[in-house]
Amino acid sequence: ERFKPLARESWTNSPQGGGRSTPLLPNMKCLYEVLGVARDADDETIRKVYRKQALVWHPDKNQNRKEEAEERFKEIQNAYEILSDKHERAWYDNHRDAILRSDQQYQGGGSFSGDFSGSSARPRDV
Amino acid sequence: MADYRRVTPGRSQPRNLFSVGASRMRAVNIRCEKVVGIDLGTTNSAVAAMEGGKPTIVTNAEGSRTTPSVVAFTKAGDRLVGQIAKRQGVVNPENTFFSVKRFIGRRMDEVKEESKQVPYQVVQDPNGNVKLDCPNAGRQFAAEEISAQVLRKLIDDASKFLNDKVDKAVITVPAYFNDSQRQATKDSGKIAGVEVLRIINEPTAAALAYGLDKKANETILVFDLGGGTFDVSILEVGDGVFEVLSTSGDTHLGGDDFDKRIVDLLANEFQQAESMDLRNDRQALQRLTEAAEKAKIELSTLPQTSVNLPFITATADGPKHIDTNITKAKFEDICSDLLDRCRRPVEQALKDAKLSLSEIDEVILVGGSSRIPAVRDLVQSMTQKEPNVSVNPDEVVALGAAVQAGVLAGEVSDIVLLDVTPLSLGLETLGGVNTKLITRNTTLPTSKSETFSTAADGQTSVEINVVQGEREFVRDCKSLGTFRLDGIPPAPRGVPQVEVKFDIDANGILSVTATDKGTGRQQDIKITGASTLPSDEVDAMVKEAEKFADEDKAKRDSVDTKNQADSMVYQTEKQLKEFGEKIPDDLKGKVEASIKVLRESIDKDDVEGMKANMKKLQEEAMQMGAAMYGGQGGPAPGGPEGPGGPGPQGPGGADGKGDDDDTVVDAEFKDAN
Repeated sequence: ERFKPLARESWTNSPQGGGRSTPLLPNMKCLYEVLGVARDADDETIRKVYRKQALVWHPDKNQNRKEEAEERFKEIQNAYEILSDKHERAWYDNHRDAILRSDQQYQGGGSFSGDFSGSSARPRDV
Repeated sequence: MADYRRVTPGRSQPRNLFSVGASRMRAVNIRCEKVVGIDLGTTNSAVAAMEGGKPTIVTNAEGSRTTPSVVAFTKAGDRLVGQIAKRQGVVNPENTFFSVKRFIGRRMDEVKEESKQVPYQVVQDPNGNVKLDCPNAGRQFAAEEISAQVLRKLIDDASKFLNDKVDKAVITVPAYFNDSQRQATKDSGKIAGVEVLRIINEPTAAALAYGLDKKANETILVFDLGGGTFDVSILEVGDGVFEVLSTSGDTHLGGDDFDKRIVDLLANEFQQAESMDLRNDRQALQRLTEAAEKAKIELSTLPQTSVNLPFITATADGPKHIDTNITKAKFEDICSDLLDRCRRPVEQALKDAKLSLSEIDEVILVGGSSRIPAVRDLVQSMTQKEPNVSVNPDEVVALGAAVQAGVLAGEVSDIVLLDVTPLSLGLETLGGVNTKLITRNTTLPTSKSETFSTAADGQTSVEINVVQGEREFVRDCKSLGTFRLDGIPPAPRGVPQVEVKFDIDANGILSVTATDKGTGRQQDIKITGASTLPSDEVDAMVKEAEKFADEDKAKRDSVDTKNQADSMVYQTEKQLKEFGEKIPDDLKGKVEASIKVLRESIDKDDVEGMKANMKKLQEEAMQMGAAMYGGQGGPAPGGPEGPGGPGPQGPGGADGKGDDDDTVVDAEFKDAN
């Protein structure tokens, strides 16, 4: 059979209202809540809290509940990656309400999956 | 003993998963177990374990803190591992395997250069993978099998040193190893009968050991130039969290390459003088390589060294010798391009960590080759910092692996390592493009997903080709596996939405799931490594290694029995001589006869005979003891002393005859001696 590579979906051509996969999180949580910091927390606080959370939730520290810990750690890590980056954090702050209204997980690097229309306006990081 | 090594099912389950049930089964068999950290190096390996909360290097059976990663097969069919194998390399170059780490998990087309630099035969198997030909064993070995022999020795020595059963380990690999090299290292562990709890990166391990007692926040750069690989990692350490920010390296650069330069220098000079290429003579090449390594090491402390190789070869004119001097300046000159190659990974790591040199607090040198003064100078001039020399570059990686082993075993509570994926992971999209989902230096565990679509109208299936690497086109990257999602309803191209999710767990195992958002149809694949060995082949190797282990055990048993028998003969004869007059003549005659028989079985190497005759002699020795003290009528103080000597030895030997594989109990008993 002929080899058929995937074509990268171009976001501008993305059809609206297509089928939707199950969201990764039942309810989209605010990244600040996930990490457990105030919305005006400074970088140093964010780093401190992240480290504390990593010590608690990294799967290596939770051999008896690895899967739960892995999910929690990934959320914490994802939140930290965004909130510790000046540009990512600013973008998240500006679009926070829209993101929270949709029920998709927001992941770093701008590759926000789902049909959130705002994403088409944001070019991918190169 | 052999039985519970086989608990990991080969076929029915993905290879990396050690089932929970399996580890419980083990726990029943073992009283207490240690998890060790192993630095499985290109040229030397080391083992460490947590002892009283501190990582400690385990010395091997020969009393050394490192073990050469060398395996040899002699003409007589013996397998030698470590120093003893290295020592006979010159006279047995075709059957002495070193630096196999350069070949592990590799395809032949990736290691063309390296394969020409070793005196043993490197061949390609029908799948394009590397195999090592061993004339003395009459077969070919995978690099995994050779490494497994090294691992087996390290583990055996460790369990002796720690006086504890060891069957779990954390093994380190160069940070820049790709998935199949990591998988191959895991396979080595499996073949050796070791459960590999985690593969961690060498520079990361070094940082763990270095930062263990540090309280302050620090950003550290680890410069790890080993025997065959070069890694640079940048970590942020603070509050017990070791966060890897970036990692970079070169898996084809190490101390071996510096040796090779000296070999070429010597061989070229010789060729000019004698028109003869010593590199075509395997034995001469091996001698040159050893002399080169020695010269390199000496040039770390001396401005000049001499190389003396008498009778390196012979021509029609008679024997030829090498007798020459190498200066430090010359050495640095012929290695200048190698030194230059150390620069780029440092720059790349800094760039990826988004840091400037001024933000690095400490530079740690790891790996034996970091002892080369020119390397130190380079690091110093690049970083504008005096490198930290507080750690032993040969031991720090194993120590760090032991720390991580302690973390996984729950022994070390206040530390966590946040490691990263060293290479980007993506999938093939239209035009053979590598579309990255997880970029390099992403902290693990992680998941990322993205939506893709079809390339042609009416396309009902897509093939997902998972790739690892930084290059833009799939053909320049490593394919880790492919799978197909079909049953997509026919639609114009670009309309169907396929969500692809990449998941990497803390062990670095990648799972990929593709979901057609329209139908909810799902397909997934667990990438257990683009292993160079099919799983049934690994299983076969595991079985064979167990056979080797059994042979070793039998050999050990025979040596132990012989020693026991020897000492029993000696002891009993001594008693006969000292207390002869107190022993009745008939008993004396019986004992002398038994000694003679035992001697005969010793000379014949008859293990079963030795055991039986020892038992007999043992009983007679007891009677002898009774006779010796019987006359005095006061058995209380002397009683246990006389026969007590050989006493515990006797039952020990007799017990061994039961052959219940209960070696743990046996060993304990002997230790009490």
